[in-house]
Amino acid sequence: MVQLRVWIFPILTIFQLCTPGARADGTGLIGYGKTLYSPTCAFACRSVIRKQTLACTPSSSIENHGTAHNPVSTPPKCFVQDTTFLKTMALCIDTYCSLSDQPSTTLIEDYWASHLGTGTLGQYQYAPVLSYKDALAAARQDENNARTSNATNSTPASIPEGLVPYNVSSPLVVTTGDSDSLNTTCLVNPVQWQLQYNYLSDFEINEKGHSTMT
Amino acid sequence: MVLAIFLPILISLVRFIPGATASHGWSHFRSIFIYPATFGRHHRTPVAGGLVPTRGQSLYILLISFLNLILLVAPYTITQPQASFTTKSKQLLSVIGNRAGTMAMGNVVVLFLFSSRNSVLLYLTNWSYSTYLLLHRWLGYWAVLHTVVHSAMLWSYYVKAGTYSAEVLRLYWIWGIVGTVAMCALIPFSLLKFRQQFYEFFIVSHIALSLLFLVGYYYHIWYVYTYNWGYEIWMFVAAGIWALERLIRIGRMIFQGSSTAVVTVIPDADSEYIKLDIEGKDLKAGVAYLCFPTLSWRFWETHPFSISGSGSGPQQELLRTSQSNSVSDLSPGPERIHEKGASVYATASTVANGTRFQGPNSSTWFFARTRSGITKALKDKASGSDGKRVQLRVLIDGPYNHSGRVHSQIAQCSSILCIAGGVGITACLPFLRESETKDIKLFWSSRKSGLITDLTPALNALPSNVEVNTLVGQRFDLDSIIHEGLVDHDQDGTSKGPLAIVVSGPPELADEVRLNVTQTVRNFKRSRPYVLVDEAFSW
Repeated sequence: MVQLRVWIFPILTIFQLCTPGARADGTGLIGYGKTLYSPTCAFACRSVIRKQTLACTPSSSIENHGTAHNPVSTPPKCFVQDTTFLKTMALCIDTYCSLSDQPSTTLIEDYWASHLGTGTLGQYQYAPVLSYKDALAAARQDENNARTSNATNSTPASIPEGLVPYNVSSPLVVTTGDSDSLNTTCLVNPVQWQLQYNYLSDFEINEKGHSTMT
Repeated sequence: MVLAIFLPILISLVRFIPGATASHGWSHFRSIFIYPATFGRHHRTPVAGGLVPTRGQSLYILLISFLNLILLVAPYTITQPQASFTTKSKQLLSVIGNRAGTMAMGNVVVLFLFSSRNSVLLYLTNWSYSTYLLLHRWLGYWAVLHTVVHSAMLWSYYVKAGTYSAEVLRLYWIWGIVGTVAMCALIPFSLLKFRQQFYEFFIVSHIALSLLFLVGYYYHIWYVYTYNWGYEIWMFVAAGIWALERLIRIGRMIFQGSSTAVVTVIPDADSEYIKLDIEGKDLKAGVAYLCFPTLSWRFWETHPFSISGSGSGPQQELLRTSQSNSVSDLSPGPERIHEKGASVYATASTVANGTRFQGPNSSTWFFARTRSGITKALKDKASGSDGKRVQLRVLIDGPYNHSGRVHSQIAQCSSILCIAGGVGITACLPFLRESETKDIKLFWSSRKSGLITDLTPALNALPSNVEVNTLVGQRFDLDSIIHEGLVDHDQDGTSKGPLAIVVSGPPELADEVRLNVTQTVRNFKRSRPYVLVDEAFSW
């Protein structure tokens, strides 16, 4: 099966010349040059909160910026400009990635630079207004402020049978996603995150399997 | 997919193991597990509307089928509960359905390669083009099966998920239907009966539906993923193989240039055979695809013909003699007598036309039995014109070696036994000229004396180590010929090397020889090691 890489190499080279924008996810077949969700932990964070309404989300837009099955009404530009979204993402990545995939800082930075605006294929044209480091620092600051103001965090939603979520806690508000508005820095609910993570992880492993088994 | 391509190369490497060809054990093994028809007595002759693969072909088909099945149902990673697939059964429907889609394309890529005349595998392996075409069909069955499974499972998934009514309106789904329907329609138009009776329609529909499938697949991917996830690569590889193959064919035609073919109906053979002389060409052996752009409105068609040899046309006509029955061990005929050629030909063939062959140009000649389609069109054209011969413009795509790399094995053999039936002699002649040191025997039976008469000069020109036996309207006693070749050699006390058995003729003859040879070797432990080459060209 390894020979496949050798075999499709010339074709990949041609594709690389034609599609310079697709660098973030690589080129080729999934598992052979192409990654679907890298890192999965960060994609799972975004999947939970992508449908929430941000301050800059147009209220009466019928334009879909997501996929057919998961419509998103927030345009890419709005995602990367909304500091609440950025801080929530940074906190989520820092919290869950260290517990699960443990991706390198470089990979997280690359994800940050290319995938916050678009959910699927990365595009560097949508550069976030805050760097990952700054967004995370600001989120931690929000966390400290919340702790001193002695706010109580809501209890996690009921846990579906068979799911073992990470035991995380934060004085911040815990968000379960849906289409609620996102107007303060939140901790992504571990149950919702785990459900998304399971889905994305399975999907990519199986897609890699399709490429290999074929 | 990778395995499907590399397995033939790997297996063919056996031929380079020193002494393998000469090994008794390997010979016996092949007589039981490789050469015979999988069941029954027929491989070339259709059984119940299909062709029975040889056991060697079946082993490959079994392995590929096993992999196609196992890899469709495993391995998968299922973690429940999770966000998108609310139940395990929905997740399995979707994930197996998707695997089927990808696996269909893997099979498509390999079967495109196997169908190519210019496939690199024909140069790397000793499997024949006929074998690859047979395997092309079996990979096709799997491609169709996977496509249908993919369509059915995702249909069922979206019905379960409750979004089918929305899905069916999307362009990608509609193009998916186009691809699946095109793929399924390929099957009825490719059945053996259909291929035999409407070959021209089969080939046109086959190409049109295959391209429609690729276009359908392309838009199926484009409208949902554009080029995001690499699924389009499968289509580009398959289309690339096809386009490259066509380019090489055109390139070969341009390289050969335009020539003139003289088509003659062979006399005294009830118009059953035609002869083609392509002037100014010197092709030695193999198969050439001939295109006669002026013959019919389907100017693009090319048809395979076995090259029977080349030389100077008039010279062989000069040697036309009245011998027709038993020509035994003749010494080579005189060479290069061109001057009187034309006139001698005229008397011998009851055709008065003295202005044809001019000068000592070499030409390549082909013989063909007239059936339906192109050979019938050529015959009609020739018999309708003055002197039962006609000149036509011809483009040559070739020559191809479609027998696979068998020559290295034949080179290890000390003797060659050629068994030819009718026009099958043409594919044998290059083998007969192969070597002047080997012990070569030819047994050729033909139903019509005219064919033998016409080829006698060519037989006379063979080297002296070739023993020629011909029969008209009768059958050779294959039992004793094969027994003598494989078993009796020990009686004269000398142990000879391996024997190459080349059979070229109608399906019945090829099957009889195949059966007889494998049974003889299985029955006689001390039989001689051998290599069997079935030169019949089948699609």
